[in-house]
Amino acid sequence: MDQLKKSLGSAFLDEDRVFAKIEKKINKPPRMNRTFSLAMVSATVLLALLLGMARLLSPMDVVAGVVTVDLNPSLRIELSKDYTVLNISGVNAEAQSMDLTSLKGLPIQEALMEIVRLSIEAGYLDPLALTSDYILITTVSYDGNDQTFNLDLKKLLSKIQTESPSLDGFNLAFMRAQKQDLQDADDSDLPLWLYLLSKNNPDVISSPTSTVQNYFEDEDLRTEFENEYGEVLEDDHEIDKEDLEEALDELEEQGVDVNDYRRRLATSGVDLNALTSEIRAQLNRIDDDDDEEVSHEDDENENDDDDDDDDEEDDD
Amino acid sequence: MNDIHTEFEKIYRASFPSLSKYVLFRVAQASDMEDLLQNVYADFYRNVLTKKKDVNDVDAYLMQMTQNELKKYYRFKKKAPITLIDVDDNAWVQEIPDADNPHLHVIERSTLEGIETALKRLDFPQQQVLIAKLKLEMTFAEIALSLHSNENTIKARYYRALERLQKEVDK
Repeated sequence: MDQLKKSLGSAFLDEDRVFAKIEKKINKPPRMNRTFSLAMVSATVLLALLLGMARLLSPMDVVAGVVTVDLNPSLRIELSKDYTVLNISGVNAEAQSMDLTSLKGLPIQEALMEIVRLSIEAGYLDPLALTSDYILITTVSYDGNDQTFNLDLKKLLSKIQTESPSLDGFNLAFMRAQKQDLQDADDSDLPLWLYLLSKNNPDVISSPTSTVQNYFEDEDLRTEFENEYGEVLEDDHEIDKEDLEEALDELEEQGVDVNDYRRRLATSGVDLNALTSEIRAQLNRIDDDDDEEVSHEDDENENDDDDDDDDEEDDD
Repeated sequence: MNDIHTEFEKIYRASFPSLSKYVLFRVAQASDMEDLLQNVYADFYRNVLTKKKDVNDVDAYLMQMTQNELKKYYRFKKKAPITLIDVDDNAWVQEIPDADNPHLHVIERSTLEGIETALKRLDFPQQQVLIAKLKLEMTFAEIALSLHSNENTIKARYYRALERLQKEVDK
C-alpha cells in the first residue's frame, strides 16, 4: 500500500509542488497593478499571407498567414490555409513565460480562446462580464487585392464573440493593415496596432505603455477609429444576476462590504440596470485605488533610488 | 515581506488538506484541482495578506474564495457543477481489506514511477476515488456523501480502479 500511497501523493495534490507554483505566481505582478489593470484587454491579430512556397509543401503545412496577438504578452502565430496554428512563439518576456505548446495544431478560434484563458490565469485580463474589455484584431493580407482572407477571418473570429460565453464582456474591434505597415512597425519597435493608430495622433498614443483599453475609453479616439480605421463589434451579452453575483464575489474578495448589494439583488423587481451601474462604479474605484498604490510604490522606489544615489555621492 | 510569507505558509499548510478535499469532488479532471487551488491561494496572498485586510475566520474566508473560484471555473469550462451520474446496480459490494486485495499486491511490487504513470491513465472518477480513499483517508461513506452517491457505487468504483490500475502497471 505504501508504494501506491506515495505515488498518489506525488501525482495529485502534492502540497509542496502546489506551494512552489503559488510562490511563482505571487511573484508575478497582480492583475490590478498591470498597465492594463481591471477591464483592460489589448489584442492585435495580424495576418499576412505568404505566397510562392506552397508548391514545395503539402497545403496544410504551408504558412498561409501570420497572426500576431499583442496583449501583454505578445505572440506571433503562423497559420495554415485552413486557419490552423502551425507555429507559435512569444515575442516578449511575458509571452515567453507562458506554455504555448498546446496551441499548436488548434484552429485559430480555439487558439485565441486559449490565449484569452491563459491571459486571465496570468492576471492580464479580467473575466468579469461587467468590465468592458476590448480585443483589437488587425489583419494584413500580403496580396493587397485579395480581401477574402481578411473577410473570412473576421467572420470566423466574430462568431466567437456571440457563441462563446467566455467572451461575455469583450468587445471586438477589427482593422486592416498593409504588409509594409508590419515592416515599418517592426522597424519602429512598436506593436503594429500602436504604430497604425499613432500615425494620426502621435501625442495621444505615442507612449510604448499606451493600451488599447485607454484608446477605446476615449470617446473621440473611438469615433475616429470607427470613421477611419475599422469596426467595433459591441458585446451584446445582457448582464444577468449571475454576472452581478460574480462581480460581487470579486468585490467581497477585495474587502468591500457587499451585503446591501446582495440583498437588493435578491429582491424581486430590482432595477438591474441601476444596480449594475453601482457595482461597476465600485469595481472601477478599486481599480483606481490599486493604480494609486502602484504609483505610490513606484514613487517610493524612485525616492529610495535617489537616496541611494545621494549616499553614494556622499561616500565619494 | 518575510513575516507575510511565513504567515502565508502557515495558513496554507493548515488549510490545504480541507480545501483539496473540497475541490477534489467539484472539478472535471485532475489537472484542474491544482490550478484552481493555486488561484485561490495566490489571490488570498495578494488581496488579503499583502493588503493587511482584516479577516475574522481565515478558514471560512478561504472556503468562500474557493467557492467563488469554482463558479468562474464552471463558467469558463461551460460546465454545470459536477454531479455524479452512475449506473448503480444497488447490489451490495463486498468490502475487501486492502491487505487481502490481490490487485494491490501486484501494484505494490511496481516502481513509484510506474505506478504514477499508470495512475495518470485512469479516468478521473477512478483517480478521484483513489485519492479520496488512500491519500485523504476518507471512508467509503464519506466519499459517497461528497459525491452525492451511495456507498456501494463508490466501493465498486474503488475496486474497479484498483483492477484497472493493476492492468496499466502490468503493461
